[in-house]
Amino acid sequence: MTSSKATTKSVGLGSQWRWLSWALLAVVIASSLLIGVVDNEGSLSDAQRSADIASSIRCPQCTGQSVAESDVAIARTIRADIARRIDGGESDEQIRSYYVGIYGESILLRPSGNGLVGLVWIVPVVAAALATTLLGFAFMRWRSQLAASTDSLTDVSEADQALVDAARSSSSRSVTDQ
Amino acid sequence: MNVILGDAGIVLALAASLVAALILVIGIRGDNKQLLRVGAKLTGGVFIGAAVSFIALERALITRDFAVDFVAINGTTTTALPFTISTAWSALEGSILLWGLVLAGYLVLIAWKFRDRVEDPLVAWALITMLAVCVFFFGLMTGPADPFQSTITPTPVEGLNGGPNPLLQNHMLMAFHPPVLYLGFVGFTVPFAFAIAALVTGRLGEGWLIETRRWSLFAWAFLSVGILLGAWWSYDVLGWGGYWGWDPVENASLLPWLTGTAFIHSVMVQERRGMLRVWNLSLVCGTFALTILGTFFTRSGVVESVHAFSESGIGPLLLGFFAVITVVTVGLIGWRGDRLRSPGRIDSPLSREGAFLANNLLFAIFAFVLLLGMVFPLIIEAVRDDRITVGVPYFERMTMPVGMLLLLLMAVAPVLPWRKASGELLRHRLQWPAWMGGLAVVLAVLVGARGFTPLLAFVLGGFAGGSALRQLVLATRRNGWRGFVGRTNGGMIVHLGVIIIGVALAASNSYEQRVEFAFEPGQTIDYADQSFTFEGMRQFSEPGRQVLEAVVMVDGVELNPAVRRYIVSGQAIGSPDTQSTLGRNVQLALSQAPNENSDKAVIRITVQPLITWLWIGGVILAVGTFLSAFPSRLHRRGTEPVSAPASTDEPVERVPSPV
Amino acid sequence: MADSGPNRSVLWAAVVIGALMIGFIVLLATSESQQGAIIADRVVGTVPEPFEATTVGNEAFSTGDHRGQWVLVNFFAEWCIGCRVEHPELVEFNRRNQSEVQLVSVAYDDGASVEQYFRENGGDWPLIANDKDASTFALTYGVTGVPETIIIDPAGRVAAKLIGSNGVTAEALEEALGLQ
Repeated sequence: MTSSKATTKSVGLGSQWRWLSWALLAVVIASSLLIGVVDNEGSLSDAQRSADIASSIRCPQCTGQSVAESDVAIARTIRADIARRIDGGESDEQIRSYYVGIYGESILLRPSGNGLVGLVWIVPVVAAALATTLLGFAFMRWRSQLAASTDSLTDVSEADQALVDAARSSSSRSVTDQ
Repeated sequence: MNVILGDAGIVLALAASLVAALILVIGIRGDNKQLLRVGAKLTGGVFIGAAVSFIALERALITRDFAVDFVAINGTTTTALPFTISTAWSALEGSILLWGLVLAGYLVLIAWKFRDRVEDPLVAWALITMLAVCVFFFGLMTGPADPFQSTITPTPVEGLNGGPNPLLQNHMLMAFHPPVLYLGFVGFTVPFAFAIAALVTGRLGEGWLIETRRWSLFAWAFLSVGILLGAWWSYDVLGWGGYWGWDPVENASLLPWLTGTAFIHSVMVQERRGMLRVWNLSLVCGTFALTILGTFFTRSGVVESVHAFSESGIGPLLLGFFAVITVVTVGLIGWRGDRLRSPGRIDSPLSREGAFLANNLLFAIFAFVLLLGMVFPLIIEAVRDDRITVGVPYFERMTMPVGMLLLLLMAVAPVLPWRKASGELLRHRLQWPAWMGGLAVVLAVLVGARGFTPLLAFVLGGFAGGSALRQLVLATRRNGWRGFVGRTNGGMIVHLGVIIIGVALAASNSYEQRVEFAFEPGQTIDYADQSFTFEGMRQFSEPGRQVLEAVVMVDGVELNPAVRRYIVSGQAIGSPDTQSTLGRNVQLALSQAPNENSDKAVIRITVQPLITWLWIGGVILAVGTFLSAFPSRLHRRGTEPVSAPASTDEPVERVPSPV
Repeated sequence: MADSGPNRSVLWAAVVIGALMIGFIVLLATSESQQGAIIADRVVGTVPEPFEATTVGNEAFSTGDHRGQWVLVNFFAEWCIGCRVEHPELVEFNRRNQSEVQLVSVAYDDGASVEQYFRENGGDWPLIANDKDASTFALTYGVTGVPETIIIDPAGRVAAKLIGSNGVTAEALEEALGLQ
């Protein structure tokens, strides 16, 4: 797609201005993000801690909802219990392990990062890295193949030329592709 | 009467599928054009059978024919008409019948569209493949998924369960979400059928892709809208502002959407450069296989889900069908591998081809994460006999980076030319879009938005939106109103829709405020810059249910979060009430009504920004797909490329076609 | 650039993917249904700390007071059909084994309606209906729903957990506890 601007590079003031504007943009975005991160509330309030823990604990009676989302009795019981424990000074870890002690590992919605279960976190990252590497190799191979066969690309054989001419001349003929 | 009609319809559809498929196979073998034409015409019989059957089921439901078991179990005299109609697909057997009807509909549409070309083995094999799928589904309906059983004696005079599951008769979207979703799922049968036909006939060029491009696009659009309707429905009924729970059944519907999106992008590489043939064949067959796998997950009980139908015997059958599809696909691709060498090479990663490959990589990772998360508990249980849960935190953490990278890709890809681009070109073309990204995040910070993830989403969303708008502006400047139609321009509008949805997702998740408060009668509280006053309770009855609702004034607007108790089944369903504006949504849910112990009403308040934009983005997406189906230039029929059969005897001299 | 002969890489990829798919399908085929799966709990076999609760009659009830007897903690809700099915069996069981067994019911959800139900349908044993004690009971014994009955042996150890009302009859209980 050709742009409406001239594609000839203007050396000197033109491209310098462009570099400057990109640099300025980078500064604007970086500072906005910085403000956004630093200005964020520091430590969590009790209510937020309670909500956080509640949304990481599965409702034992429901199918996949957290106790923060469900309204069944046991969910409300656990929510109230979490709030009581936070008031009692227990840490997030302690509260979670208490529930794991009663209901087992599957009460936590976030699979642990250790052991066999930790694989669920690692495998996708490894697979993504592997796929990206393979794609990179493919690109390199294509590049070298393209360089090696550039000659044959520019020489169009007579048979090919005849084919193209025939297709162009008659618009009712269908073109074979392969 | 209904039973007879219904059973007859199913038998007719099954018989017509078998006979038509057989005739087509014989016709191809014997090169008998006459037989091929007959076979194509017989597909009409499949549709007639499916339609008769479906109408019989609806008739039975509407006339409350409780002699039919399906109606007795799922119907009732008190359901309103729209929900009576949608009762057909609220349980297993009826939903399979709906699937069969949609499948038969696509079948006859294909048979009609290609009626002049039915003598071409490619088209004939595509029809045979679709007929084979029909045989499976209508075969299911003659056995384990028969909606027309009549075994309950004595004939009940009222529905046995008070109607379908109360969750399924509470909301109008029940009437739309499953049919639209099925139009999407089943729609992918068409490109799958042509892919199989291309593999079988050995005509592996680009012809089959070009024929089915619009079908794939429309199936994708229906699937997208269907998923969004499901999210909207969840949002309206769940009560805590949630619209996507990474529930296994939701994930199962997202998987074919992911591979389908990858497919509609990578086909453009194949159309232009003749490359990625194996990959595209695998993608489209995989998409179809994933729709069957999704159906399996929903109906087999292997994964735990709120959406799952009650267990039935068809789980193993669906898994078996999935196995057959996999074996056939992998086998065919392996067998035809020799013909799949592409003549083209990709010059540089910094090109539109490279961008589409990156797109496919990202969607593949996304799909892999989803599938792994769904299946991992099963693996752990098989290995260690211990149950674990892979829930929302996992999916959110793992898919967020992929989503961000996709936004970035949507920003850069539209300005990339084919074959090769330079850094200079990019810097030049991406200036305005990049400044839009900067503007977006500055505005957000000024308004008070904080937090790295949502702000990053704003930057990338603005960037990508700017890129899409740039393309549209350039196109309209050149072509006037035609700048809005056609594949590229329509695609940019679709991208805009997706970007809006992405940004709305980030904002509504990161900035939601939720609190549960026990109101005394008459009490007012201030929360999230709004005032909430609980005025009292109200009780009344609707057909089949008792409604207990709270009257809450939110800045002068009355909202009525309620609980509906269904009389026959005894189930109580919460009915939240929502106030939607463009800026934010306020949703109220009644957690606990006042009773003898206390006169306090516990009400859950959820305030989220930009929820409405999720649905607006969906509308833009649908409009964009519709617009992209129109040709952007006057279409010359003559040079429509068609895959010619390659001879198998002599090795063909492959010469790169001058593109 | 003409290639002839079978495309080795595609063939290998097909074999590998085919094998993976077969493994995947076998995994799905052999997985047990998870629908309605009860979360495994760790309470059975443990000896929970005794704790105090207040009944609806405003009396104190302590789980520690009843060592030497079988204690059955029954979780009940008025709207729960299974609870109502098993309730007469529990009444009968209590009547026949007063000395060896101590029943206690915990109202799960709405205490007032449970109280009413007990008044009408029998149940002459302590009933815990206040929210705080009810939730302590529920969490200590890892309750997920109703009906559930926790059986504590005379030494204070949780012997069993009965989930659902299936098979909960007076005879079955007596047999299980060896009280024929």
